[in-house]
Amino acid sequence: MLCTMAILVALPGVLPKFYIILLGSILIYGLFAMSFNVLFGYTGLLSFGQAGFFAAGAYVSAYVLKEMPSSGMSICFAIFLSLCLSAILSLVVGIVCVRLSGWVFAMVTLAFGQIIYTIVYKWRDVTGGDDGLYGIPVPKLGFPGMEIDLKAAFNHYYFILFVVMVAVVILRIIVRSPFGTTIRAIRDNPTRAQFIGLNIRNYRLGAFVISGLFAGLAGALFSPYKGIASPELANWAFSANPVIMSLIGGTGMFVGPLVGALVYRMLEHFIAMYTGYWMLFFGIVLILSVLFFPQGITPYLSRGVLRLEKGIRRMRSCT
Amino acid sequence: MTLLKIQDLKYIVEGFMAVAGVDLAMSRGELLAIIGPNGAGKTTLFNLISGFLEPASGDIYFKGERITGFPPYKIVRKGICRAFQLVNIFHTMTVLENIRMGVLADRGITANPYRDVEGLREINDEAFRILDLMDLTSYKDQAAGSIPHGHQKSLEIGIALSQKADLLLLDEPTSGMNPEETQTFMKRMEEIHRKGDCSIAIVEHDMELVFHLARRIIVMYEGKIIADGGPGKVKEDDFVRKVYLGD
Repeated sequence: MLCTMAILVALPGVLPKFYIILLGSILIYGLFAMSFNVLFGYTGLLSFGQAGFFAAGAYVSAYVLKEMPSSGMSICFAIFLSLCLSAILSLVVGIVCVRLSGWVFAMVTLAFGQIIYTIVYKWRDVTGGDDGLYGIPVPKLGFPGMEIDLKAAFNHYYFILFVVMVAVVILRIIVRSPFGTTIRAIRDNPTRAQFIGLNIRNYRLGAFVISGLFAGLAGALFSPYKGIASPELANWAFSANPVIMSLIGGTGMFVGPLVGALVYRMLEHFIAMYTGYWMLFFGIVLILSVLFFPQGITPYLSRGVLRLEKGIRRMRSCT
Repeated sequence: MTLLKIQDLKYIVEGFMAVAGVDLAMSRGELLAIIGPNGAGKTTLFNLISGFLEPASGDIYFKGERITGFPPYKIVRKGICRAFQLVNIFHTMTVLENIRMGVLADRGITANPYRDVEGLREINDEAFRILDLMDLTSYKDQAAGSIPHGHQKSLEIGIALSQKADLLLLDEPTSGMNPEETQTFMKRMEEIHRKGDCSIAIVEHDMELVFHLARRIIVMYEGKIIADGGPGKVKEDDFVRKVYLGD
């Protein structure tokens, strides 16, 4: 993990600005996919409504930055408010949804996601309707005796990297905790979980809120970075992003969705360079990936890295 | 002292009375076996006691408190834990994680979102003690679903034991075990019972095990208790011999 962080910190010195901007959005998508995987990979609940929480974070962040003077710690205030709203929203939606499971759960989350989409689409006075909120001023980060202008792409990238890494560390702590073990047990066998004294609804609700909270955080980072919050962010089709990213990367490993986000966005970028029908080619890649890497590509990459390490060690011992 | 008291318990499924007015009292420290032909209502009775099913009528009292209609997790918290007829474990988690999950639930710290489970020494020590008791230490890092069936049954009993229950309900615990594993299981149950950790009720078809292990045997037939007493008394009962023991 430290090695990955070191690479991510060093990359702006090596890569062109365009790729650094792309990498920033990959980190945000990665966080979104990881938040989804708390629910899907760890709790065994497939949600098609995650976009609703992402959009809630994105709109609150966009609204705060647009309506309040862009100075001092307003980005932090925007993120804080986004977290509050997505937590409340996911708690309300979760109370209804966690009573269900399987496809019924997936369909009800989709329905709630579409309700959020409709609110965003119709509430023109606040959300800008189908135009969305655009022209979001790029915020400055104020610290005592120091101010960081996020207009500079590298600064904004480092800010996103910092927030995403903090979120990843928190998620890591959660999944390794007794709570993380419990939600995995519930995913494995809800009946057995009840018969060791667990009220499974409460734990599912906890996972739902954590998932919604981090989806909201990803959204809060997204709109200032892109300069726009549009209703498409709340649409059910946008909820497919974390699903696909998690499937590509693998739901069984903690960093799987983050790796999936990287592969998804890079493939999208490179295929789109050659053809406008990138979705068609991406579909083929996705089918092949699911057929040949049913556990996702991360376990294979992980094994490859281990083999590489062993090889290097062997070479060193020979010389 | 009465631990479990069941009064006129009935359960009807598709017009058929699976449990037809059962009255039963079980004392603290007792080890009893419930036997009977298939469809006699033994597992249904366990399902009713453990909250998996809700009775049509009748009452269940545990430690003097009425627990009829309580959800399973509340009944577990009152002190009744069960192992199932078919293996019911956390398949993708390791054997150690399975037992540790049980210990975490027993200690009531499952909602903690920040402590590393690997670092909870007291919890892990207890998990290793149960692994050792169930002869599962050598499998600790394997996925529970990948170990042999007999060991999976042992694991399930291990999870139940991790609950520090006052009453343990074991539904055909030796099905799928080979004779050697059954012998080991029998010794283990005798040891647990001798230590006085908990009362045990076993549904079992293995008559050798039942007559060796239990001091009290309850015979069920068509949803009713037709005999209740020591092994000698049950063996002598004409009706039991006719409908179940096959003489």
